[in-house]
Amino acid sequence: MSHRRVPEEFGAFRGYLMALAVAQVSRDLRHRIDLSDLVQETLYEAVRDWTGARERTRAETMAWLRSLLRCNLIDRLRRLRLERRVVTFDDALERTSQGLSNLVQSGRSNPEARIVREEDALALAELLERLSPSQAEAIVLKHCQGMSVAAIGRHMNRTPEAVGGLLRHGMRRLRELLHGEI
Amino acid sequence: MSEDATPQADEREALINLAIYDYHAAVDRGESPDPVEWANARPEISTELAAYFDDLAKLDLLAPVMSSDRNRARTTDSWSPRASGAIDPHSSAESPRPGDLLGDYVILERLGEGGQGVVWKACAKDALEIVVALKTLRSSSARDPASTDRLRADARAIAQMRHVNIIKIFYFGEDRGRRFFVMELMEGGTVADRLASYVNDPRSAAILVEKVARAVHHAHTRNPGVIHLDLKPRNILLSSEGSRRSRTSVSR
Repeated sequence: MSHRRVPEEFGAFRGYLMALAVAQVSRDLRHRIDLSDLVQETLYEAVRDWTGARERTRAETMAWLRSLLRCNLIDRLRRLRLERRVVTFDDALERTSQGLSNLVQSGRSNPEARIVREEDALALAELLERLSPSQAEAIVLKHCQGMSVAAIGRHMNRTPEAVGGLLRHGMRRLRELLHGEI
Repeated sequence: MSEDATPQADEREALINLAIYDYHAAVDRGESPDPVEWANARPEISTELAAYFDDLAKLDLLAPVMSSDRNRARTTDSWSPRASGAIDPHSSAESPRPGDLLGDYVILERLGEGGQGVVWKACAKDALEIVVALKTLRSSSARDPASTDRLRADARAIAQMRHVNIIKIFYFGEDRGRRFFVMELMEGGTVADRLASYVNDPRSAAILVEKVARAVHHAHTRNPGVIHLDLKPRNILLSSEGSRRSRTSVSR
């Protein structure tokens, strides 16, 4: 799948889709579901079907990409005979996306700028790409998805101590980045 | 992580990280630990813990110390009816709760939520037997002009449709800065809730898909340029008798 080229302007969505995907697929499945492949395929389909969709706002494009990602994820889970997981994440992509936007909004020091915009999720996803992948994943799960730390430990196959460390160091780095960017 | 990776430094690092995990685990259990006390109770690592809590506070992620926990309410859907029966008129961002009045309707219970909106079961305040579904924006989007425009556009698009399998809209209004619309209530839940029952019943599944396809075709025909971008089992509602309506989530 990686040989398919995706135009530059879609690159902005890559980190966003990846942030959503890591929150849905636990580590124990990652050797069977390649997430970068999943995201690449979703972007490829988006580019292929882009004609006629140019009028969409960015927020609508994001909703459309989420629906493509959901379909591709369901396909993969079905192929692995893991259908039972399909229903559980029906609204999870929207929830994670909303959580990403909320986090950016909370980081704004100016209260007047505290309006949640769906597009903010893209900005946060971009910053998260500058953290280590594990730190970014722990932060998305805890603060965007609202997962308990015990569940994060299972999702990421990490010890409590490791989860605490990822949240701590990830949060510090994210605060520095948010401070500089918004 | 630290440059002085001596065994003592590693041990200290582990202690800090575990204390942070334990703090979150306590919040996850529904407790409301005070971050200051949490740090002070561990004097040997209190500086690092205080720094972490400060990072959380700066991003508004610190769980309140009081029993009403805003961050948890945002993610776990759990809230209790509040004592007063009305929404705070000064805060349109405050989420409505069961018992609140919105226009001429009393909020009864939360039915579900989508990307930006929340759907409630509600009844007319002067005729309690009139039970409806009421859609508002999430608190986070309530003040966003683009979101309120979209809510109005959704309501208008639904109003254009006349189809037995598409929900009917009754009213669009505003109360203390919060816009909402009122529509027919489907009491049979969503198709997502009943997916399992379709697995061994392909005939019912096919009948369902035909109804949905006809409804979507009608929606697309009545509103040229408007397409349903989010058709999925959770957005297909069932009446208590089992006929299907599509919850319209439309977008231009």
